[in-house]
Amino acid sequence: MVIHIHSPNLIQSIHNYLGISLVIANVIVVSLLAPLLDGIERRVKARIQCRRGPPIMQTWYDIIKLLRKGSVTQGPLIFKLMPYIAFITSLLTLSLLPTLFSNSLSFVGDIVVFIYLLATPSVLIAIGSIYTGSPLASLGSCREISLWMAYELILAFSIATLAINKSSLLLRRILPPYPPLHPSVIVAIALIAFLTYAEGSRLPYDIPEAESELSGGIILEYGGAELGFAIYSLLIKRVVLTSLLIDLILPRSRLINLLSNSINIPLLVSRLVIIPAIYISLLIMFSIIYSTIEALHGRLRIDQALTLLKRIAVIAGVVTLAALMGF
Amino acid sequence: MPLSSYLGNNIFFLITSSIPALLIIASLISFPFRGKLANYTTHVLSSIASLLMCLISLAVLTGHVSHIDLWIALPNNIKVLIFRIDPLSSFFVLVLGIIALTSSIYGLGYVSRFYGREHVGWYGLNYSLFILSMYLTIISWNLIAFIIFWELMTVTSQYLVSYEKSKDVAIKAGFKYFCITKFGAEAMIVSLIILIVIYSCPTLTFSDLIAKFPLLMKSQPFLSYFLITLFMLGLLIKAAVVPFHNWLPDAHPEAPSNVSALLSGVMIKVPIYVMVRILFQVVGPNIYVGFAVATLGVITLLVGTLYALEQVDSKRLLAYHSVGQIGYIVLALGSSVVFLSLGTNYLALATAAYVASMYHLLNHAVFKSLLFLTAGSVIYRTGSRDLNRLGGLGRFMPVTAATALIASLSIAGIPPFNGFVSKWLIYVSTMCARTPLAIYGVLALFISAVTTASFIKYFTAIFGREGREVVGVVKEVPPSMYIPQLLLAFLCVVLGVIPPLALTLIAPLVTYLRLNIQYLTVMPFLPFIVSIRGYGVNAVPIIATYLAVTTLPVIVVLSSKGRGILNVWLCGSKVLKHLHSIPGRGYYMIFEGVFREVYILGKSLKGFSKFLAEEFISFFRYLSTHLEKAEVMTAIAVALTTIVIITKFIRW
Repeated sequence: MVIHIHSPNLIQSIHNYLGISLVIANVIVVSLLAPLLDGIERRVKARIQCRRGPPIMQTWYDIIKLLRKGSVTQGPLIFKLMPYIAFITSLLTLSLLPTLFSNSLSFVGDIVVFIYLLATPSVLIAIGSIYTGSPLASLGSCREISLWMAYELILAFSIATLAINKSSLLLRRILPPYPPLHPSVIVAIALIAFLTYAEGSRLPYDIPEAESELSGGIILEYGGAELGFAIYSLLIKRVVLTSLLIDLILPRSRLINLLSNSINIPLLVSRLVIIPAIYISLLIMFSIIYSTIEALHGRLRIDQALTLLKRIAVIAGVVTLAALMGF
Repeated sequence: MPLSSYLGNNIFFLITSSIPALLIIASLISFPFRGKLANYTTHVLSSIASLLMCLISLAVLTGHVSHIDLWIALPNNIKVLIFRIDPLSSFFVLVLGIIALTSSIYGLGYVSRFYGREHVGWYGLNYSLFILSMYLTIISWNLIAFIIFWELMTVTSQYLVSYEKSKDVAIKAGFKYFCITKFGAEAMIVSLIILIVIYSCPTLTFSDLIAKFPLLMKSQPFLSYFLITLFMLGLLIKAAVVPFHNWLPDAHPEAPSNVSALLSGVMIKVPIYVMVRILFQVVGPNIYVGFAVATLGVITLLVGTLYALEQVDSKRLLAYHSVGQIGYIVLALGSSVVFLSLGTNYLALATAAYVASMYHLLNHAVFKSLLFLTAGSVIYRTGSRDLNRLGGLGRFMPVTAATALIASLSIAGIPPFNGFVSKWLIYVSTMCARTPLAIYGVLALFISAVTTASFIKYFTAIFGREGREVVGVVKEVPPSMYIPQLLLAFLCVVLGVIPPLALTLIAPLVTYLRLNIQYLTVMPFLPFIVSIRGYGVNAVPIIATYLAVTTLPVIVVLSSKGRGILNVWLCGSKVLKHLHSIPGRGYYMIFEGVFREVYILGKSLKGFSKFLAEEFISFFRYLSTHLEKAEVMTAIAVALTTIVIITKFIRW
């Protein structure tokens, strides 16, 4: 029961400018990638449903068109402001994770900040939407928040499982959470994999938007640039979630060591070329998997979804207990 | 017997003693009047007194004086009554000072709604005495004086709760509150009597207790645990820890809103102050006590907040959240005791948890008072607390709406507001180590989400959408009411963006308890996140970036011109807009339905406390009607003598 005490030089910190510029590069490149991934998903879904599907750049075209338009929307300032703040918050969330390059902003307890920042965009947009008084938008927002509370429980339990295993609240030390590969770690990763799918509000769980039922739900009242930013922040959130999953399974530093020791690939090449390539191909792979699942499912009712999430949360709690006992 | 008081010629002594004088004068002057005059004398004098409280506590916290002693002594130099402001109590005096100042200024405007309906002088008397009793409870060093002022605090606040005599609910809530907290106070009195008998010392002070109690714990562990349990029972009841929380959601909403701010912001923190003294100084690090306290804390935050989620009365919702947030404070306090008892390896975590507890206490005082003040402003203008019917006030009351949004985001823990820093410290300190406390940390994190949900409801249901009932055009509240709101909102931002400010105030408390504040380091140049030394690199000022970047869209939106304003889309329906609004109870109905197990747990706990309350109320009624009968008096006397004999002569 001794707590591991890290010395600062053990952890690769971003004291140098290169590190900071790599983090910024991460944020820019991955946020530019996000709509492309959505394009791929739309294409895959269309193919599964025997349609031709839009071009891969279509989501980008949509967003650019929206950003150019002036807004003809509701008056209140708070309503107009929320998508912009949500967008910036989602970019900050991105900077906390190692994505393309393995540099990221890192400090003790950054996991907690990550969880909070991940939630902030949807909270802010929900406040903006309910504020307008539109019945469909309010309904969508209430569903979004209800689901989010349940996700939060599962996410907190599974991240605590990983944190307990490594006795640390530093994302860098937890990603990847093995070795040792305890059973509790495997279950926690599986739970987070489920969450990355569900919390990105993909089909059985797209209850807050529910195109056919609430006609857009939470983002119904937004238009023009505000709508563009609201959609964009959702897309970035999806990439962030997928990146979290990739970080959980991809042992970056071991891979780099392996490459340099066995095949003599220089560190810089593997860090700046090979790892980003692996990361992007994993992103595309997960996009294809996710869109396939999405194409095959119908929407759940909110109470069905919540009941399911509650059961999963109980499992997550048991797993955390197991992790405490050392399994 | 001539009593002589020794007052030093120091200015601090003068200020310390002038505060009670000011408050007593306020109560005496205001009492005979029924209207404006009573309002003004009470609030002006008590705001001066609270300013002095801030001054005196800052003097101690910044180290100008180590502590301030005031005493009344007999001629043979036996000090019968000692008041002491040491770093620990000065922190609480500071909290009291800030909240009392803002709610006194706010009261100038708010109490005007009682003119002609209620006796304002009666309010003034109780209001100033209430502040006085909290002040004296915090600074009294004698246990007997402490319990006397503690009871005075209960009595005066009970009168304030049931101030509006036209409302039957208020009278009932006041009586319930009085009975339950009185029960707790009786438990404390019994343990105090036993202590006094054991030490044969009627002027027993905290320093005697700190010196002598560890010996008693060694020689008579059973008796000492019994005493701790009794004393803690009283404290837990007053702090509204589940399962003893039943009185709070009834009592706090019924008081005038500025008094609710005082009740939720300060009064339920007074038992926390005593708890710190007892747990850290008197009992010392004890793993069982620590775990018990932390467990109660986590149950409290679960039950309190989940019940808050389903409330549709604005002030009742806030009151349930007070229960929940006290849970956070108590959880952190208990964790700190646990880590302390685990040895030096855990000292950093113990410090972090203790600082988190005190930080959250300060933050909660600020944002919860602010929330009660905004709820009060809404009542002042519309007379309604019903979240099902209210709505659309953001247009008419922009300042109140903005401050309510800041307070809501603060209590939800959204960065960069103050709730975020303290909650973050709580999670970090509990979740790092491999102890059962990690599970508690997870539950606290989940409850933070529930808090957010609940305050999305609070904010949007009052200030957003269209009300179910058209309220018509209302005005913003007068400056005397919105200035205190702005002040507290400013504190919410400052305490969140500049944690070192709060840390410098908490540091003396930490060193006073012989913990080490050095474990918490703050980045020297951009001090935005606190980090625990030995647990990694110093923090990157993400919050600073966040603040800097988020101000950009504000400028963009303010400078951009929309093409026009469209109405909300109602599928082409011609029905009036306000009929489409979701009522407050509809927000999370399905969530509450699915997570009903927690409510069943809460209900059984509530049943327990209800049973306790009803038993005690009937006992109290019996006593109060039959007190003159000889056999009741004899029974009480016999009971007291048995206690004395047992504790004096029988070793447990």
